[in-house]
Amino acid sequence: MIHYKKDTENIVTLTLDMDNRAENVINQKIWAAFVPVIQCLKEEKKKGRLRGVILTSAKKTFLAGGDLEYIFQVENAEEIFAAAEGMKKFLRDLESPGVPVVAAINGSAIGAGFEVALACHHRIVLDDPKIAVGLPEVEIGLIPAGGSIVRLMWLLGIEKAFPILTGGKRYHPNAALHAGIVDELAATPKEMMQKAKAWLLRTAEGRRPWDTAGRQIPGGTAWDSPVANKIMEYSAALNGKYFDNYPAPQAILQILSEASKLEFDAACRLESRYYTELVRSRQCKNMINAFWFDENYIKNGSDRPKGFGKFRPKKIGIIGAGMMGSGIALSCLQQGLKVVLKDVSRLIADRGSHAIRNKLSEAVFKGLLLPEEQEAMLKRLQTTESAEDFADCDLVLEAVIENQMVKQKVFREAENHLDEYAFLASNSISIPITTLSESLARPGQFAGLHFFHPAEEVPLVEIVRGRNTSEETVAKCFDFVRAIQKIPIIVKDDWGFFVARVQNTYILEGITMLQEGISPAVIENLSRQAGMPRSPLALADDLGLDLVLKYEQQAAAHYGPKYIQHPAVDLVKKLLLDLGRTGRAQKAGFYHYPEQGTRMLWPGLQEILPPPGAFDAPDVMDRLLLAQVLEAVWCMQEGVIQSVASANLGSIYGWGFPAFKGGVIQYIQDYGLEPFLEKCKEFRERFGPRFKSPKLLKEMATKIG
Amino acid sequence: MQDAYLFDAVRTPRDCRLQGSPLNEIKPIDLLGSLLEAVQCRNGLEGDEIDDLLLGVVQPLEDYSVNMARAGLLKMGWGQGVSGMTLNRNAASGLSALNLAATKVGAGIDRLVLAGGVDSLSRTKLRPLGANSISDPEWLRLARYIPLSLAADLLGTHYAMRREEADAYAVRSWQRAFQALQEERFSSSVIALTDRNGLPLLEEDQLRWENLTPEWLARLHPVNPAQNTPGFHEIALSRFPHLEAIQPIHTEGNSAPLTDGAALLLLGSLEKGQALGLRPRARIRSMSHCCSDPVIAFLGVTEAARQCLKLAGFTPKDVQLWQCNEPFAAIPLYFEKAMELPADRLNPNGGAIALGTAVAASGAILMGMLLEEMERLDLETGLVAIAAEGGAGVATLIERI
Repeated sequence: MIHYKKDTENIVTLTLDMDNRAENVINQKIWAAFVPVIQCLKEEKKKGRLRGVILTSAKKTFLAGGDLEYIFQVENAEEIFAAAEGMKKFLRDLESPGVPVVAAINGSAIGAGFEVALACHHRIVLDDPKIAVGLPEVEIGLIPAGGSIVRLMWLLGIEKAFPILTGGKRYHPNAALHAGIVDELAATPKEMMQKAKAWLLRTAEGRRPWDTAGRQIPGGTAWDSPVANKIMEYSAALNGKYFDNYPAPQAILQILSEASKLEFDAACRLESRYYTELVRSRQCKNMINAFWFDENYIKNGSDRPKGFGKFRPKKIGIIGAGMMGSGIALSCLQQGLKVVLKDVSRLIADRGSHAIRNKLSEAVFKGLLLPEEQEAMLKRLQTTESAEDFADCDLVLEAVIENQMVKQKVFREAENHLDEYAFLASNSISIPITTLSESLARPGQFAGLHFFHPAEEVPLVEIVRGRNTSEETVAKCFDFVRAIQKIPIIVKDDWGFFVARVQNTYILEGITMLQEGISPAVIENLSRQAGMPRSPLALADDLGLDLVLKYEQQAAAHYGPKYIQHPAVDLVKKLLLDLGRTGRAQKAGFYHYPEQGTRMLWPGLQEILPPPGAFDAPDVMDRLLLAQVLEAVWCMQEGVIQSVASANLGSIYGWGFPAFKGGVIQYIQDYGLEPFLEKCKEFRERFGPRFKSPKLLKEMATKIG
Repeated sequence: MQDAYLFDAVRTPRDCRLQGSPLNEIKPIDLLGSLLEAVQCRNGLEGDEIDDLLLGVVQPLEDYSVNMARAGLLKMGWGQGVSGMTLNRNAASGLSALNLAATKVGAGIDRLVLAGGVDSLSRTKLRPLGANSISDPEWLRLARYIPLSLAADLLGTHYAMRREEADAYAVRSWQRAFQALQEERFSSSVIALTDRNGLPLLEEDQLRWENLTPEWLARLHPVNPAQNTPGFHEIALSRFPHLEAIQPIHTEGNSAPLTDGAALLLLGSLEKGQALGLRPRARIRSMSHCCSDPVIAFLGVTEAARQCLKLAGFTPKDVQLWQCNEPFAAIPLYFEKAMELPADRLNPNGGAIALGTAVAASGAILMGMLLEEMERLDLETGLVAIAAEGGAGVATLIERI
């Protein structure tokens, strides 16, 4: 498990190599394995036969993070605290005065894995952009448990440690060096070991700053006015952004502030206390549910049609070199695919490639990418004005304007040049995939691949299964989306698919409240407090009121006589048709758009709305979220979306449904099924039949409960 | 309960230049000492007739980190017989000291007490974002802390006040203080300060501006550090979601600058006053304190005033003169409107916007200003109300004898 090798200069290399595992992970076994090793090192040191230690790994990764499945189920405070303290004890033993230890980071070290590296006296990382290091715990509502908050504070000071800890970013070697979380880079594994040895030979004693008399935290402690003021600023920024919804970043700031006034070991225990509280928090459990269990469910292909061999895309054709097209192209290039980017003229296609080059240059500048990698990516990109160049593409995807004629035209052109195995996909948002498929020669080899703006950043793609789409094509789409490292969710070819359809109910609920005499500012402010990244009226303006109305009209057409008109429709029509306020594109909607400065709510709303009355803040927030949750349940009942996991992740990545709730279906679990059904009943009586709970709700909630 | 009577009120001159003011050359303990000495001389006291000294101190740091009340008494050589304590309710500290002292007299515990406050901000390290910067993020979150300057703009936005109204109030405060100084209306209570050799340091209140015009004020830019600190705005709106944005109406010109200063009030029972030959100048009729919304912070000023009136069985019309603190123009504007006061009855001799605010002493300063003006105009009833950080409000209603 741990290989021990001592050389002639009394330097011991410890190589982590866990049995029967693809990577080294942090668990009880590894702690247990280290106990005799550390004992042995201590004895060697005492005998004067130990110069230093190099810690490295025999696997591709250095050391992965902690066991999330354990963290998800554990509830007992004593147990959690003891586990955190156990890990801290091990790391403390590793770094305690005496033997200098170098972490030779030959692969990724994330979370608890990087905590081990931080407990070493020196960190050298292999300069390979595939390697990432960092402390992303905050993304699942957690904080490091091994003392890394306190260690980073001591190494970098509160001001530098705070953004690293709360950002949860993964750092590539160059960026890690820049941020100060590693000390040296090495070009090759050999150089890494040489550098490690060289450092050990010139370092007599391994002693951390916090164990050295007279050493101080860089930049000062919370006792110092400038630092206290910074803490107050950070606190305002966190509270203004997260309100009371995300306790982990707030705990990080709290620990930094308090720990700066405490001695190291007390500070570490304090970290364990906050850690224990977070592990037990609903937010953490919800986020682990989404970002671990739900993501794994998707990544394991549970929703992928069975029985088709794995599709390995190599070359992708993209029609349309605008923002969306070039964003998709970039996502493909980054994962090693070849891309043919086509537009009406070579000149316009080149604009797309130019945008891609700029984005890559930015990544190079930030140290996230090597220049030679950028060159390699750009070499895989071909621009064209001719569909002939699609000849050997595995998939051709269109991202042209939302116009049926145009889309059908570009598909016909492309189809002529494709072989029988290749398939086509559309990024259409409002034109049914089935309709588009009808003019194709092979309608089965066609599906929707709906990306979200900005495509290179949003990790979600809706795979739209049209009536003619074959199961094999769906499977291929799934494999393609996974190949570009995104989360595929398979949706039915109904209006708005899943994401836009559910999001629209959020917008409509906000507009309904306006009609009831809740002031627009209340709706906008409380939506953000509820955890939504964008407020409903601003979102309506951004999408365009015509699209908001169109979705609802499509819903009306779908349900026919069963359709009950949404109470928001009247106001949308009034703005759109009577007042010509269509949204942001025309610089007039629920907001007005001054030439300079930010948009402000349109004062004229007061004249067409009832005078603002009293409101109940929790009710407003509940309504805004409940409307979405119920629509998502309808989507499940109608087979628009296939699984709870897709619904949860689709909601978080697709339109920013609060991650601390674990996504749109997990919300029910978090709320409690019975109270949720009660609330729906209450809202149905007070606000209308749209709050009627679908039949599936009870059954489904029982299943997930 | 027996009544408590006010016998005397003294205060140091104010000078809001902070650095460069002669007040900068005097230790906080000597600011207090000058007033103790004045009270002694003016009232023919030995010192040890006094039972207790209650002193407002809002930043117990550095020079203040001792029990300032006790330290001042020891310096005066009264330490054998007189005890002292400090207390903090931010801007309301001085008035709370008075109310607590009156309560002790009323309960028969003490017979003669000094109450007031001292502030020497020029000798304390000021913190940019708030009077007291707190590095406890959990508290900041739970309290939805925002700086007072933003709270004042929030109050202004909440009550739809315009920048011009705030500026006009500043001009009014300045004009009134200007006239009061011209007519030497403060001369009976302001104690000229001297240095250790008896050389004059500062004789009277220094007006902040020699001249002030609405045009000049209108040219000032809103200065609100909180507007540039991301987050505070959203925190404020999370409490008051019906507002889309907070309009900045306050500038340096219509907010009160800080100043060093101290003030003391002498109060006690009627019998004790008679025994010592002290003239009772007013009777404390009622007192109150309250707490209101901590985010908008200043609503306590009216709540406390209303409670105080209720205890006395008064309506606002029964009170002839009013004083309320004016850290920002929005507060007196709000108070005047909410209490439906005629403009000439509130802060008749100007206030802190023109003269500066010595935070911990301001309650005792306002009470002194109220008393001298009631005497000048021969009025019967007056009320001081103060809003303080965190939503606190304190008020005191007095009647002349």
